[in-house]
Amino acid sequence: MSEQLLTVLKLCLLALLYLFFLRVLRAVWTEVNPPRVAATPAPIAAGAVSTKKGGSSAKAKASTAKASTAKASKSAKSAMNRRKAPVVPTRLVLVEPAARAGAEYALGPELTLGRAAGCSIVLDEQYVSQVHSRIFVRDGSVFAEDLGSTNGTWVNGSRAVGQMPARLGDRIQVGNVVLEVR
Amino acid sequence: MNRQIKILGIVIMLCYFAAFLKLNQIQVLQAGAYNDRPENTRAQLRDFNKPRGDIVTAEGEIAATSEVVRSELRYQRVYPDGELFAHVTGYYSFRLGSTGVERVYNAELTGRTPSLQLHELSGFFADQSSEGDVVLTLRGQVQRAARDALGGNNGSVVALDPRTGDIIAMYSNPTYDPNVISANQGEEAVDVKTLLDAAPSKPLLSRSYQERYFPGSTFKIVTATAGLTSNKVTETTPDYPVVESYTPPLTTRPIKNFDGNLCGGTLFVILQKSCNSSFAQMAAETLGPDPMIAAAEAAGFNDAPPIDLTRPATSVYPTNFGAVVSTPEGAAPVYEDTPALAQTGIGQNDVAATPLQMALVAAGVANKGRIMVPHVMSEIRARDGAVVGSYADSPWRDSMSPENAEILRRGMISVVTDGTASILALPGFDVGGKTGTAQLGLDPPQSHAWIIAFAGPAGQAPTIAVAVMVQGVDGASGSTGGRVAGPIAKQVLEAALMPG
Amino acid sequence: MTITESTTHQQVVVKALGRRRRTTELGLLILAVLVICGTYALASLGKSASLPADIVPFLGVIVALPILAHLANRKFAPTSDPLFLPLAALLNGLGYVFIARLDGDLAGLQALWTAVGIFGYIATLILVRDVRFLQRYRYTFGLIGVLLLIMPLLPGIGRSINGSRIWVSLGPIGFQPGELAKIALAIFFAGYLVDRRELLGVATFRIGRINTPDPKYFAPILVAVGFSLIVMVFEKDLGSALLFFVLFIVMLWVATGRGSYLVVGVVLFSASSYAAWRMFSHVQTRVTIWINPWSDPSGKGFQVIQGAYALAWGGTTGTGPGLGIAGRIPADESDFIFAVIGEELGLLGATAVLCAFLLLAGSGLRVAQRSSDPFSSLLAVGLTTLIAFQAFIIIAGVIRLLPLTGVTLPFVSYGGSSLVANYILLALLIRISDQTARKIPEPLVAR
Repeated sequence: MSEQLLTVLKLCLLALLYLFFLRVLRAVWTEVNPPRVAATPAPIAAGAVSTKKGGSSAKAKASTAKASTAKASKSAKSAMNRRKAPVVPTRLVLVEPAARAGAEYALGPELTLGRAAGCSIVLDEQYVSQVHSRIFVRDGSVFAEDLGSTNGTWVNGSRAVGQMPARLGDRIQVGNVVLEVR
Repeated sequence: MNRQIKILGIVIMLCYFAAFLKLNQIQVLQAGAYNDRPENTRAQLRDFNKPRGDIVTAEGEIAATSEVVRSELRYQRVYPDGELFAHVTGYYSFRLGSTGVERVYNAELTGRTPSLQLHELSGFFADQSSEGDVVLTLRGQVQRAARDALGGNNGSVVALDPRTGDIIAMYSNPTYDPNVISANQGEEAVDVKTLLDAAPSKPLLSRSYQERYFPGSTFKIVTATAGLTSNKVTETTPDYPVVESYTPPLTTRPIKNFDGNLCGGTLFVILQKSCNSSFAQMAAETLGPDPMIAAAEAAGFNDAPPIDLTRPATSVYPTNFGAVVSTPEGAAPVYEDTPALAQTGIGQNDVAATPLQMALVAAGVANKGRIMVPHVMSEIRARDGAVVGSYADSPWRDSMSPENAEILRRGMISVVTDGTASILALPGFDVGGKTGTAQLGLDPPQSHAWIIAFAGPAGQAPTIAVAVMVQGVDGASGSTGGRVAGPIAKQVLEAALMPG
Repeated sequence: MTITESTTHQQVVVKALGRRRRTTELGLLILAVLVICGTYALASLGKSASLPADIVPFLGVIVALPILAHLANRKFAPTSDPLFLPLAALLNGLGYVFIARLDGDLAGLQALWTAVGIFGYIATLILVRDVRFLQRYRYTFGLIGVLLLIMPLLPGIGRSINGSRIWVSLGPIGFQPGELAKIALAIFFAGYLVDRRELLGVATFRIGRINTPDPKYFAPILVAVGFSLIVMVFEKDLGSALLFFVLFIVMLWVATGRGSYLVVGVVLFSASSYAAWRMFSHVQTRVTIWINPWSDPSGKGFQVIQGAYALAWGGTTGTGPGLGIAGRIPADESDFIFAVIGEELGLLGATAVLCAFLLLAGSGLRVAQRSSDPFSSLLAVGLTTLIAFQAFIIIAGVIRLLPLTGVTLPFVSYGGSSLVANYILLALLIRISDQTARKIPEPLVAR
């Protein structure tokens, strides 16, 4: 075995070793910033399909979760049907925590959400900050904005940076509270 | 708790980063310093765990090779010819280091030169390693002739090609067996090395290029060169008086001719008879110090020859003869040390030369005054036999003009045809020579017997130059050099010129 | 939307998360196995290596075992963090190849120990379905830990090897109970500190820095720690004592958030180090060798010097597996295996080992951070501290960043007790991460 060949093989091995670490880092990234899939089966299934149609690059990890969303295709279909109807969002429905599920709040020009008593919607939950976020309507569209909370405000599994639009059927998460736009 | 966990994470990261920095320091920044530490044997261990190229003679005979052994060090150096090439190949020992070609061409033998590695790349997927074979200029046949001719005498034979500087044979007696010293198993090697180091005859040192001796009358070639180069001596002038002895100025001690002979005449005559009186007078009165120093240094004295072997000795010629004492008319000025200068003219006093140096003196005469760099390597071959590098011949010194070299060439040939070196005569070849008997003392009479010579096909440029030195032989007469060293030189010339 | 729908939705999310994580884990495992096999192949190609032919089945074992552990994860901890197993498998496999390259006989034993370790891992996953089970028996674990620690001191079964009395021989089997003791004591610390933390919640956690906690709450743990440290010093197991001390201080500080504990800890540590240095000649030797190993290059400094030479010889990319000069360093297959890896895979390989431990630590701390249960969180911190600092202590000793104290390099070094203990430790981390992920489908902040 030629010495040079061994050297080349050694370098290949080291490259493979670091490829492993690259994959690990990617996995860490996925852990810290999970892909925006399957947060809620219904609207997201629709979202995933439309993303694909749009041709924009679907995240690699999304494919693994796709199987699960396919299983939930029944509810996905109903969600698509629902989306076809041109309805203007009017209210927020509490989905989680389950104990308080079903609570409804009317959408207004500006709603503040948080644990503090002065908030428009008081959510006395462990993972909700004092003044957590605000949800407001502008030109008929709903926007969610985080107000520097600890756990952040999420729309369909994506962290809200600045003012994030939320459409009908989207889910807004505030701490451990999930509200659906209806 | 999250704040503490974050800080803990940062602390762990800092710890590991510190370890990373320290690793960089050890493995990159200071790696060289660690590798070079004397008690760090990793570099040697690597070399002893890898195959090593062979050292082969010009005919392809293996002078040194590596054998696989079952021990921590996988390869053991073996010298099939024992002591024959010992002073050229040197030895290669894990504990005792290396010398000679083993040391000088270590990079080639281990395959670490760019040309060898490049060549290995061409055979990328072949089962080929990069170590290279060193092909010597030495010819095993001539080397053996030198050894056999020298017999049990202490001394040295150097034969080289004056046109290229190729060393054809270089043998020194007493010698040693490199197999014993290179043995990595057992303690014998260390003991033997200790004994050899302590031995008064210094068998580990090559008498050919690591030890110096009075060159005696062979140095008269250098004195003659000084005369010719300074234009103060020609073939016909001066005509030195035929005397029994010559007494230099400022002393009463005469410099006698051998055996009380009457001796004198023109250049060729005094060369043929090796007249001490005439050459002493030439150095002291005809020339003076400066032409002598210039000629000696032009021949390579006072500088170690750049031979590709370890620790070559520097041949010396004195460079200071004191202040001018008087300026007689028609002769060189008289210096404080003019008596010593007279003695240097016949290769005595503070003149000391290696046999290699005297061979180079003869080679200069033979090669139109140009001395080539002497060397033992002719080419480097990869394991598949491809030549990846060869020695680039280059001149080392111009000892004299081509015209003067031609005069001296004829002069030295006349020493063979009509003088003290007649024993060297070889039919069909032009042979030139000069004998020397460097007296060490008269009670008992002892001397180094010398002869330097060159030879080549009749009418053609000489193809070999030889220096033979036999150390401390009994007798101190004018014929001692020719009688003792002459037959040795002749056998070597015959082996080199008439192979088979 | 109804409550039932929400629950199913949660299950779907957990399932999807689990599937994603296990796929990631499998992908990474396959890569790790490729790296291990590649290293093995190169090592056997290396000319100076002498790998016996019967190593190949062992290698098969080494490759098959992590896959088995992966299957166990799928079954028993489907939503656990996907990074632990591949990183441990890589370290274990690399260590194995280098052990095999150094000593074929040890390699066979190491394969066996790896198998025992993996079964210990699976058994732990099966037995410990809920981490709080451990919390309930915290005092039992504390007692077990202390008993394990003093086992080597018992006449008859205790053995002293290489100057350290940390071995126990039961029939033909020898092991170091100290390795398991560390885990047991970490469980005890976590359980105990979580108790006190709640008890002193206001004084030490919420407000802090105003009230001094009542010393009587800390008396039991101080007794346990002091006793353990004295035992370890008595056993001449300096590395373990150092690790144990770090573990205690870190857990105490993380649980309470009081920086003053760190200060007290450092002062205590300095004082006791000085006392140990004054009292024990072997401690003095370690420090002298650390400062200048060349004061005794062929004696006491030999190991450290040879380690440094091995690393320096490796340079940036190393000599190549199997092409280094093996067998020059004492304990090259255990304490100094890092130097062998550094020689044959160079700075890049050594850095990879550092990265693997750092990523393991990162995953452990991530689990700790995400867990909403304080006990799980604190236990994860403790276990992570054990791995991260044990690796750091020995690596820093080999590269002369710290005085050398003999502990094994987790997962890499030869040694059955260490391997089994670390796999059990890994299983606990896996269990915590799985439980955390199930409780809140995705960690809350990330959903």
